[in-house]
Amino acid sequence: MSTKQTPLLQVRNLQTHFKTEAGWARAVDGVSFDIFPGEVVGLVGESGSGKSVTALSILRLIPDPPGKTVGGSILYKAQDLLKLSWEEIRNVRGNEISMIFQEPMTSLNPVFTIGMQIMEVILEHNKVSRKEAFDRAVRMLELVGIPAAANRMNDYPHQFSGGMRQRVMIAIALACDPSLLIADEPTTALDVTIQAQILELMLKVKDERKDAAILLITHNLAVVAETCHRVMVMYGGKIQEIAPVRELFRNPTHPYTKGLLASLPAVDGARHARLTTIPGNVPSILDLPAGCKFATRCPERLEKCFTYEPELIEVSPGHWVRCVLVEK
Amino acid sequence: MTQEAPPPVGTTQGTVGTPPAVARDRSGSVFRRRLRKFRTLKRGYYSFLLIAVAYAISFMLPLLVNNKALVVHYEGSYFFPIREYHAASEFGIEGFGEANYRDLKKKFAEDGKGNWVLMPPYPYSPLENLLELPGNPPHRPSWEHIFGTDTAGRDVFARLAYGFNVSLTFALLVLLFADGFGVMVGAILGYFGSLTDIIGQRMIEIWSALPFLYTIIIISSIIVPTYTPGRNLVLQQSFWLLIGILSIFYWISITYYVRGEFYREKAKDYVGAAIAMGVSEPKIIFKHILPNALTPVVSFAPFTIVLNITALVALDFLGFGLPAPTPSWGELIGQGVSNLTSWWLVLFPIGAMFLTLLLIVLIGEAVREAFDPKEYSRLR
Repeated sequence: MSTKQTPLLQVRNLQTHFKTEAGWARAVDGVSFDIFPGEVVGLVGESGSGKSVTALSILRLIPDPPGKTVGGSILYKAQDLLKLSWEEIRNVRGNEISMIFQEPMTSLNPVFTIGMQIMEVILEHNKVSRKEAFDRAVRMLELVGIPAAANRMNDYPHQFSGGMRQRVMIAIALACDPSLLIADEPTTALDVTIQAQILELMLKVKDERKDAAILLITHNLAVVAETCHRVMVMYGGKIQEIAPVRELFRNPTHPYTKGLLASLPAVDGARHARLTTIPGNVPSILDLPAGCKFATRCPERLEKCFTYEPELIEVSPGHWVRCVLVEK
Repeated sequence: MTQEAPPPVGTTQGTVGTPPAVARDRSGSVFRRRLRKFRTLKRGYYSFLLIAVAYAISFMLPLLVNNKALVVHYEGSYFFPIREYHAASEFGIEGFGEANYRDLKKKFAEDGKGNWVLMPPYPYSPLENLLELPGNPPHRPSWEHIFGTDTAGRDVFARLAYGFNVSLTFALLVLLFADGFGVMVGAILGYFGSLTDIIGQRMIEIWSALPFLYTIIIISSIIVPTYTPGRNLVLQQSFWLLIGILSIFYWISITYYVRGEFYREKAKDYVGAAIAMGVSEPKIIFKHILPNALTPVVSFAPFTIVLNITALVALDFLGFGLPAPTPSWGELIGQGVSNLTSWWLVLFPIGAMFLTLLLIVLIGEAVREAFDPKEYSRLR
């Protein structure tokens, strides 16, 4: 991936905090990354590491209160999404940047037909007649591989299976030709056999649109290895490591990434060998360590890790790590 | 669905698992499914048909129960007294004012000159004081006046029939206005939540503390309800005034349910998905969430109608309802209470009200059952 291109999305020092009774929870605390046209970027991390909040912050979907994006900037096509009016951001949503959610079973409105729901987003963002919107919706359904698409336009969500519904969600998300698709754990709720189909479909659809990019949020490293060009590893509301996918799997540098990869079962590994785990839990975002967020669980930690947090450092082209061990 | 024939002996390996043909035209819409289920609940469905047909017919009452002739054929020309006023003198009889068409019919029949009068099937008006009857009103039921007459000599059957139309129209309109407003308030409180909700709820509590009956008494003493003769009963000013008064008190209870539904529905993923797709806020509230939040409104509606009819009867009974001489059930029940020996003034109005309310409750029961996700019902 050439880095000389202008990025499609430039997130700089994004900070999204939530107000709780126990104080401000810093769910996302200074996240910066770029997404280039045509790229598939994976965002991985444990539950509670801030992946989803990062994604929701991009479209300003954080419920306020209690959440608030308190700092940073999100440059999309040279405009700061955080500074847009509600009307302008509404026009970005679903049109320029769209999103696929984790739960296909509940993400469709039960009282409307599938056709109406695809047509709605088309009619919302384009000046087209209902007839044109209908035709386009049928084409979208065909594209996502729904058999007899025209006949199924009048069906209701409960007449579709989970995998089919996720296909419909993808059709809705792509109906307006967005430049960026944010997929928040799109396959987590699906059967393993369906997961592969859905991922393949997303990649196929992306390939048909040259400059479209995908931000894939997942905690499944196998999915990342399969689909992404670059991977960002998040922990404690911060990005800990960014690397091209091959580089990350061959040469994980941050102790947390190493731990994640070590906890995967190896196909060629010794039988009956117990899986390695990372001891401890994700620190509470209410009470993050002052220094490195991973210090409490890190097997390679130094004394100063508890008080000092390093910056992201480029160790090889395109491979950035936030760790004292690479600082020297 | 017909039972599949058992496979012939010896062909256990055959196509046993052939799926039954699914009718594709059966719409999967939740509403359609509930409608289908409602139709299978015979008791409620037939009650609904009965009430609906009776209500439709009640709009044609001027053609069915009236003292004005439908057609008069007099000396070669036709008159339609149902549509316009004709003085008695126009038909060659002595007297002032409008012709008495029942007498006219008798007279024409006696004369035998080829003139004739076509009367409605039940030729008495609810507003007509039948002073020509022998004795003093109220009169006992007879073949001419099947439910007797009231203390002012008006036909009870005619009054009950017109009263049915007035009561049901009144109940439906109050339902429409009160629930329409209540749903809107509930939707706004539930969707926006937080401060809007807290302030809104407190306002509603203050409003609901207003004493309903006193307010009506005060209002009707300021704006004296008047009856405009000759105007249709449901176009009377006082009728709409009463609808307005009831509506401003009866919208409250539904807001609680709709507010709760909105709180639940707005947290669901499809709402988040709609926001993420850039759908505007009014569209999300009214197009996406509202249809999902209408279950309590629909299943309460029949019972709200019962409540509204009862409210009108109660107000009429107390004398704060529709002004005389509007045909009303409550007023008749009031007459019955003060003339207990005239049993027909007690039995028939209460019977009519009981029957109507019973049928509507049966509809309500079936609607509730149709909205119940459980497949098998005890009502079938």
